[in-house]
Amino acid sequence: MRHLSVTLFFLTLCLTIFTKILVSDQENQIKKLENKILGIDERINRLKVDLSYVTRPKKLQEINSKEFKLLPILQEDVIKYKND
Amino acid sequence: MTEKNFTGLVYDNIFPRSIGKESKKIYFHDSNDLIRNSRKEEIKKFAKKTNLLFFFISLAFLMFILINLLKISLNKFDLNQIYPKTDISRGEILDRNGEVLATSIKTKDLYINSRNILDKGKLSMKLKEIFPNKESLPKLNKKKYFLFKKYLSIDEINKLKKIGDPGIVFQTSEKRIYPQHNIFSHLTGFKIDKLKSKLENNFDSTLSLGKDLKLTVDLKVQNIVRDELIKGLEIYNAKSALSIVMNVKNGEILSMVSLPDFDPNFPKTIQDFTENNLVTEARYEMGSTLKMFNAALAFELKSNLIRKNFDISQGYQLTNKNTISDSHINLDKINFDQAFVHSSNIASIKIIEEIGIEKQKELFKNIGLIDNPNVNGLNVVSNKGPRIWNDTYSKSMSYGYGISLSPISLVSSFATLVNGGKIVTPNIIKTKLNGNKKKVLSNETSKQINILLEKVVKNGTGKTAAVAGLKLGGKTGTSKKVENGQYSEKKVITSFIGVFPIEDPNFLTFVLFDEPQRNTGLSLESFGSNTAAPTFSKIVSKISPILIQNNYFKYSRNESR
Repeated sequence: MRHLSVTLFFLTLCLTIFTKILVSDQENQIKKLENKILGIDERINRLKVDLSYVTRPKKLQEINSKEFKLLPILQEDVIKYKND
Repeated sequence: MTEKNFTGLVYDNIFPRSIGKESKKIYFHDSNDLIRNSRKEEIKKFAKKTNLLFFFISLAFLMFILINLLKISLNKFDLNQIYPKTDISRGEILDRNGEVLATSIKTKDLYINSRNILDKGKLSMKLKEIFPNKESLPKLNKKKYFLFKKYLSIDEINKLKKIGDPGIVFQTSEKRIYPQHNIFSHLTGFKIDKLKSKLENNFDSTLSLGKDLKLTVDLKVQNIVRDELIKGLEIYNAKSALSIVMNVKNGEILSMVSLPDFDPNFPKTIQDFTENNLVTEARYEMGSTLKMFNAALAFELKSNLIRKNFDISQGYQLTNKNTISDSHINLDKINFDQAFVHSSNIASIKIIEEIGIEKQKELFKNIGLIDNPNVNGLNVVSNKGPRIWNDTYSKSMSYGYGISLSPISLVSSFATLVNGGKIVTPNIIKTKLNGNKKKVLSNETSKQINILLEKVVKNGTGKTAAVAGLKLGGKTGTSKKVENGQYSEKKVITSFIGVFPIEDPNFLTFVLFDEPQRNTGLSLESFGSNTAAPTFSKIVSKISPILIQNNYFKYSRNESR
């Protein structure tokens, strides 16, 4: 009985240490991944903001007036198109 | 005495032994180890018990660890549960199509730790090179740790890193940015540090939790409306202008523009006269647009008035000092339809004279002109009706005076006139729509109102609001402003409220100019028709294809002809 208890105790101790190491390792990995995700999220967010700036109506109007000189579609154009 | 009979510690085998003459202590010697053996037995018993207890505790602990390991291996843990995110970015404000109207980005702030600076002179010089406009350099010698500059650009961060001084400290912070600049300023408001306004303030708890806020507005529609309104503001040299585009069936607001506006990216540039959203935070005497409520009363009560002719050749003596005339109409007698097509003040008074104050009061109450509309997320100013609803006020209100309304209030009440008589609540936040709406007018009344509105645009004061390829209806409005307690002859409010497609209206657009300066000398009644109505026409002509393209309303070729 005594040997069994001591064995059990050491087994528990080893298992505890092993689990702790395992969890710590996993925690570190999660933290690393979280940081990576945060970084990527931040980059995506910045790109989204950049895209919003680039595609904002005022900017598109500027580009149109400089490069393409396209006219806006009016209601009468829709009717002409539908009738054609 | 044998060992078997030995019960307890009898001191038979123990005899005292003196150690020294001077010592007072007496020592006993356990010659047969009886006491020692007895204690050994007790210790053994205790050890057995403890061992058993230890065994069970170890076993329980082992089981606990095993169960938890098993749980980890079987269940997929929510990472957020293990590591609750403490650094939540503020939610975005989006338009109905997901276009970003307000968002937050992570930036770096520059702090200076004076204790760690290697060379103060050199650092000062370098900082001056990077931030030539920064005036707080002397602080470098005074404070130990202080914020030097917020929201650094990437270029600035790179230059600062090159200095390599340990006194330079970067700290991460969050900056609120508004990519659309002024376009939605009166809706989003702004947020800088703890200072917030409008939606940023009223939905702070939602946004702070990282939840996005989706609005009903459309970026493209809003931009067109704002552009045309700015053009109108310049052409007519008006003090301010506003416009609303609303879905009359569900109350969704597609555009809400108030000019002048501000850039929420630079809150310091906001001035008193640019801060208020005039659509919700201002009220006006609306003038002739209110005449349509007289028509609604006549249709709803199935009054004989709709077959009657009105003599407008003589002015109407409203009070001792105030005579109402229709100088802009070159007719002596007009019928019911013409009263609205040509916007007759005298006919409006005569109509309400026959209908009566109580019926007018009841309609105004039912349709929401007395109560203040509640627009979720926006601050709405109270309407201001007459203190005593007497004969004079009743007649004044029949042609749009004596009652001051917020534009959002007029628009939501007008929507009820044209949508089949259902009450709609103006809505700026995209939510699940409530299908049950209170009905205050009959379908027939609404239909007749729409026919009348179409006539106003086809033959009356609203001709300039017509849009090629789209059947629409509307009503002009012009009212004198009060100046020093009297109605001014020069300062006016001009407006146009229109709905389309007129067969089954889906959208309402309202345009208002405050104090347009040109065209003075012309009849007041033509003011709405030559300022707000043409602007309305330009707006609708451009937004209608977008509304069709986005399938915001059912469209068929027949309807447009």
